[in-house]
Amino acid sequence: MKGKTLKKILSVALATAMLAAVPVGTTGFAAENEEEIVLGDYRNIAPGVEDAYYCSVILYVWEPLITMDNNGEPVGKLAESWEVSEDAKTWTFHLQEGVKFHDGEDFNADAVLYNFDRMRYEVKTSGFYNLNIDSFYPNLDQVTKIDDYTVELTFTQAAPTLLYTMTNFGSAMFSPACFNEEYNFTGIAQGTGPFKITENVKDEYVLLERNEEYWGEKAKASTIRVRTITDVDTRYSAMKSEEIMGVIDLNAITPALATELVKDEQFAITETKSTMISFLCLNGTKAPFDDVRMRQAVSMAIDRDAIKDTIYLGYVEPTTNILNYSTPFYTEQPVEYDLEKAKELAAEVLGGERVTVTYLIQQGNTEQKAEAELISALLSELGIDTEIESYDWATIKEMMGNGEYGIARGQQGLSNMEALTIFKRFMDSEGDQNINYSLGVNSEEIDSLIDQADAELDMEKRQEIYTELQEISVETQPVVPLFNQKTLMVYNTKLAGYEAQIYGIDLPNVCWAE
Amino acid sequence: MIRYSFRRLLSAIPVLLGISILAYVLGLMTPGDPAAMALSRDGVSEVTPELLEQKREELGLNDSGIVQYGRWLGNVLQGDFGTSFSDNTPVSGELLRRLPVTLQLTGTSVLLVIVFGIIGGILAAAYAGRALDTGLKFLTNLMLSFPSFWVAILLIIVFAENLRILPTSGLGSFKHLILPSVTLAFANIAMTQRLMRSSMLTEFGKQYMLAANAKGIKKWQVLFTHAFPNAVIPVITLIGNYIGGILGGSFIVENIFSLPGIGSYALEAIHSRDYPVIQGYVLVTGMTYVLISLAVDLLCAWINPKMRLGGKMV
Repeated sequence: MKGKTLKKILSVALATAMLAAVPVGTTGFAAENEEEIVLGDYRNIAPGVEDAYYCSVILYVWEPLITMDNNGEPVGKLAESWEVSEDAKTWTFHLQEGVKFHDGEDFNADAVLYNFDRMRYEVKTSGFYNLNIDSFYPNLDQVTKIDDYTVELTFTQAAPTLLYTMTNFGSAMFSPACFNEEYNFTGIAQGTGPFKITENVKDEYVLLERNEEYWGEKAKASTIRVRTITDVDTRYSAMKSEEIMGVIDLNAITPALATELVKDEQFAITETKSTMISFLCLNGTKAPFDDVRMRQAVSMAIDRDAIKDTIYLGYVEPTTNILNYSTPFYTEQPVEYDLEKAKELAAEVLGGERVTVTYLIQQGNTEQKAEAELISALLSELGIDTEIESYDWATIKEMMGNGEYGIARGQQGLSNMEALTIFKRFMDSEGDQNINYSLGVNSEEIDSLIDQADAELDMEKRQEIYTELQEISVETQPVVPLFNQKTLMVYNTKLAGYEAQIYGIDLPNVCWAE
Repeated sequence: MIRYSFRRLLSAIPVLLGISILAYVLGLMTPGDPAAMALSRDGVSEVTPELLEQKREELGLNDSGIVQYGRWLGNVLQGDFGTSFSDNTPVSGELLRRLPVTLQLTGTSVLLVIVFGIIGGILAAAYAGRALDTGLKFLTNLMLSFPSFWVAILLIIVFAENLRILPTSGLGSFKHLILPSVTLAFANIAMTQRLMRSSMLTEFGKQYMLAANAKGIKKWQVLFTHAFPNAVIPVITLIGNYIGGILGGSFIVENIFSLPGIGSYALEAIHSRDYPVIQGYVLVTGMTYVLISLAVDLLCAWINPKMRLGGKMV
């Protein structure tokens, strides 16, 4: 056996080596052609056929009938203009003419009707927004083709704010040829946008090419590759090594890493408002937070500016208003920090006793942990001792639903720019988040204001009610808002036209600087 | 040997059954509603009670745990691993897509462990007590004390960020595999080297070595033809365990280097309470362990015929 042993060992080693040589994937780590711009994201920005939209709106592959400007106001995209009847039950949309999908199909009223049929077929889930016709088009009755470029929507109840609920994901248009009989994608999504997808490898990259036949102003870059890089530190390193020239999604970079990166003049930050708001949920179904004074005390005791500067390095905006600042219905409300007054309020409720509550934060989130420690220190002055516990979101959600918590860190994105959605979900006595999070909000005044707003056709009067609801939210703190978040992106200054938007960046404008 | 292998494979059935039941029970016991997680993947949409109920019904979550498990088992026996709760993709397809990535990573890192661990161990034993041995001891101490995520970050900073000779992450060329493989192999090279060294030294102390030395056989010949085949047996067992470990997925390394392996798949599934995925993963890794340990036993018997399968050492 002697000499053979070595041979045997060597043959095992060789077999292992062959296993290692199984080829997987095809990407090189630098851009394949000089023109190509490589960007990074933390998730699959084009999850593919399983997703209701195939890819996010921020890739500019598909376009909606209605999109929004930088103030969150609806503007037409594939819908050129529209009219609404006086009772706000009938909306007529005039479509852009001469638009073709990437696969050569015409965009017209039939295509719009097909996309509505798809929405009506069933709720399709997505990592971005669920495709649910009831949330985009509540009370929709009929969708009718008037002529090739005119579509009429009728509703059983007035829908004065329809444009706000149908922006972007609410009115995505795909070529009818993309789908099977169950309205699921059979291949790459064919939209009308300035970019088309030429290749999509899950968990690796999606490749975009300029749509040379685009009906509007064409994109500046000819090829853009968006890579999926799951770890934020690795994304930072990939920026440094110029493997990627920028990041494009929400939360794609942390304030700390962005600040570190721009110490090098090669990199720059672009930021704008985000639709996300961070808040503390307080269990309003039991003591001590069932008392409004206690919730006010918590809100007043939190030094939001200190948290903003120390933990988020300035990249958040302190707020006490439940409504996010990117909707046009938002009104500025005072952010009060008064520890003495907070102590008085807490003393009234607690009568000098101390209470201990559980404070839930999300597992592995270092920022939430630092924030929770800071807030706990402030709350202990009010007589509230906290036990900070971290779990994954599924567990936290269940504990909140069962009312087994005192304080929990939460966040909420706007599902659309219609403010009423948020008031209904958090402040209505039957609101889903009110119930899911055991907030314990139960006010006839708020319920009737929400009903009034729902029936109000006059937008100015609607705004008045929305303002009142915001004031009530600041006064009664159904949740304790901490910050409006910001969309924060970094890019290499070899690129030009890199500008953050409420969601995503202005991708068609991105190009090499020279 | 064939009968032995067959028996071993048969014994895997109760093992797989046991772990799949255990995984299912643990899944059901963990708080969190799979239907709610599947519907609120986007984090913004309102999930109405009707929608939730409809989803629960669709996923079969309204049935008792036993019925759910029975249904799953019945499908698996027909070769159907089911579809993911959260995005409806077939579990088997996704496992098959991810398995080559994990296999490749395992292959390269095991190769590194074999080459550097075994050679290093032999050298350390041959020069026991001398400068080389002390140097290697220091080095292995160092390698064992670094946590793998830290090694990964360090390697990325040096080779990707500063030298720019290797990519930070992703798949593709051979170059993409270097950093993750080295990260995975790092501590194991040290462990293997130490075991190889001590195992060799044990052999050196045995009487046949004394006899061989007395006969005047050359040092390296004694070392390779007599001591090595005996000493390598425990090392192979260690490496076998190690292979089982990485094939099960090393989500830290997969996450840092953006590799879509099966470890990260399982982790995501745990977070979203995606039972079919967790079950599929448990079966695959369970089977892998059984196969690897069988392969290790066969390999040991082949290299060292003194070991008898299914019996004691003679």
